[in-house]
Amino acid sequence: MASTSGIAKLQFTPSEDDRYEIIAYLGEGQFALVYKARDRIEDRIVAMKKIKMGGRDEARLGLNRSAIREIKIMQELHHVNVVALLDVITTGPNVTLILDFMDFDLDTVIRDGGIVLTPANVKAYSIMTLRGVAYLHRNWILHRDLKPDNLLLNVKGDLKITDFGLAKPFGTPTRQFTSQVVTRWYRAPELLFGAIRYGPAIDVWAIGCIIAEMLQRAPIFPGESDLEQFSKITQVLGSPTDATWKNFRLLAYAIPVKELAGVPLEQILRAVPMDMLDVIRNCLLYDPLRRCSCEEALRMPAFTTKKPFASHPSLLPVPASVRARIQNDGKADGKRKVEPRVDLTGDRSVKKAAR
Amino acid sequence: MAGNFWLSSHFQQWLFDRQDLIRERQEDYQVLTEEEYQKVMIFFANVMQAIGEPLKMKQQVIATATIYFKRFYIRNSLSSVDPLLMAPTCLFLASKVDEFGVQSNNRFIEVCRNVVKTKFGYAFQQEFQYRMPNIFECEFYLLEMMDCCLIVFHPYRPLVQFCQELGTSLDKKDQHQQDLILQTAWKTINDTLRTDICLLYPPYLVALACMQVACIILGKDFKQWFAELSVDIDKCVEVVKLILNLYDMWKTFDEKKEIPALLAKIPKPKSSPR
Repeated sequence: MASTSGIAKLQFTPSEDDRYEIIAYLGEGQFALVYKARDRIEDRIVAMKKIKMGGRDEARLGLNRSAIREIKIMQELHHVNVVALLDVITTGPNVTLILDFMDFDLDTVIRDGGIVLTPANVKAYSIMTLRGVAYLHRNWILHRDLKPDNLLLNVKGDLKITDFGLAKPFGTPTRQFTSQVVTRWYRAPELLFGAIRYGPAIDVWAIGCIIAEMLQRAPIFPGESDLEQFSKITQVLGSPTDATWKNFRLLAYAIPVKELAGVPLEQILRAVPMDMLDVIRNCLLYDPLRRCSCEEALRMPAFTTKKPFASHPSLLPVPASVRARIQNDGKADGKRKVEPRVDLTGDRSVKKAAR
Repeated sequence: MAGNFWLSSHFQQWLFDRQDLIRERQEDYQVLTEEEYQKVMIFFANVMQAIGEPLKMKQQVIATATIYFKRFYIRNSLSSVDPLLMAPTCLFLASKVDEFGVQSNNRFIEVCRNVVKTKFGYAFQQEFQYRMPNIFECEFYLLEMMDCCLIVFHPYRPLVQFCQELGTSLDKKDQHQQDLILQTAWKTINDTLRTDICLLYPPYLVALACMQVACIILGKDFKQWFAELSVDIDKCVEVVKLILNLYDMWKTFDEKKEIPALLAKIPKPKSSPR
């Protein structure tokens, strides 16, 4: 470093380089490379999220804004249904986040034809999601990108919310947001109409879509474009009226809506218990002010008094592909038993795919 | 994030005892006295304020940056990174963390150069020589040294709540006093950023102490209201004392005369390992 850089050699926490041993490459996120790694000190498997540096963006803007959002928010969050930030390390010029390692995600489960999702399973997933998001909302955080891919699962049956790259604190009434958030299929109607002041209700809408998707095993509103997204919604829920959504015409991109009656939910989600339909109906109300909160949803009969009750986490399904990989890894681990270190890893040495 | 302060990294990791601060600053206290160190900190807080204002940064962003600056130099000596580089870097990172719109890099550097030249020329022999790549590099070290704890709680929000609370205990005709207290205490909070108070006490206590100072300044008497709060009044008085110490020091502190000599005492960062 030249002395004109104004920075002398700084002393970093030592020996972090050896603490984490990369086991496998998992994939590439929007601003990071994700690896599976072994934490030699705590003796556990973790996910390593290496924030990309030196790209064109970093040269122009410094640390990536999404990365900063994720770091600042995750640093303050501690909940069983939210992926934990275990450590942050710097190797060379890289910032690396050490996160809970999870085996697969809800999207894999929904798309796996070999898995039967019972109403009890769906209730368990729904409750864990609602608890996690309720915690975020209590702490004035909007997730803004809830979708099955961002709900991670492990073989123990825990569900944890991840990806806080779009998350934002809310509650300052004067602050405006962009409406270009949330993956389209899960985007609330007020966002489609260009709302720039919105709240926790947008996350609740996404949860409603996810619960319906678990029951139907296909997205409930799979719009191909923003315009089509709205018509997909109206085809099911009918068009909004002044009675169901007061003042919606005042939103910036409110389009003239054709009168549509919609279809009763029980015809779309056949053989779904009424109490679950009630939850979905309340999460998918047009008027964000009337939509239920996560806490209200958790108090509904579906999750409190109505049978079947939510499955125990240990009874939740694991995709066959994940199970096979764990068995393979078990064998591999068995072979490697010569190394004393492997012994220590115990049942946590199970290796899995996912992100 | 207005989450739970008591579970936050701010409370868990970034509040210190006086002794902690003295120990951590050992290296700097070899070349500067405690008071001189505080003067250098005041000076750079002023630099950050002066850079932030033309960029139309909100006071909260500047306050966050000021606290980042202090946090960095708790962990590192003033000779490790040039404070003149660290000051704008703190603003740069704070503006991203507080979701203050995107800055044009050219404008950012331009403002830094201008401010250093026109307002602080007396302190520096040279022009502001840093460019964006320097800031990016420094930003990275700043993030690392703060252990990625980016969310800072400020006394402003508790102050607003306390003043509303105080207002409800007042008669209708005295309602305007609430606003007076708020304004004066708000400025006092800005002043506390020139001290170690934000490293020593939780924000709600700072807000209450600033209200007390405001009452003294305005000659108001709300003893009854303060007495009914269930807070540690002794701690509150400690904060008030620190604020009054600052005002005492300010009376005789001539930046233009003293700062150049103080800055000359700080060893320059060298490229070789320490």
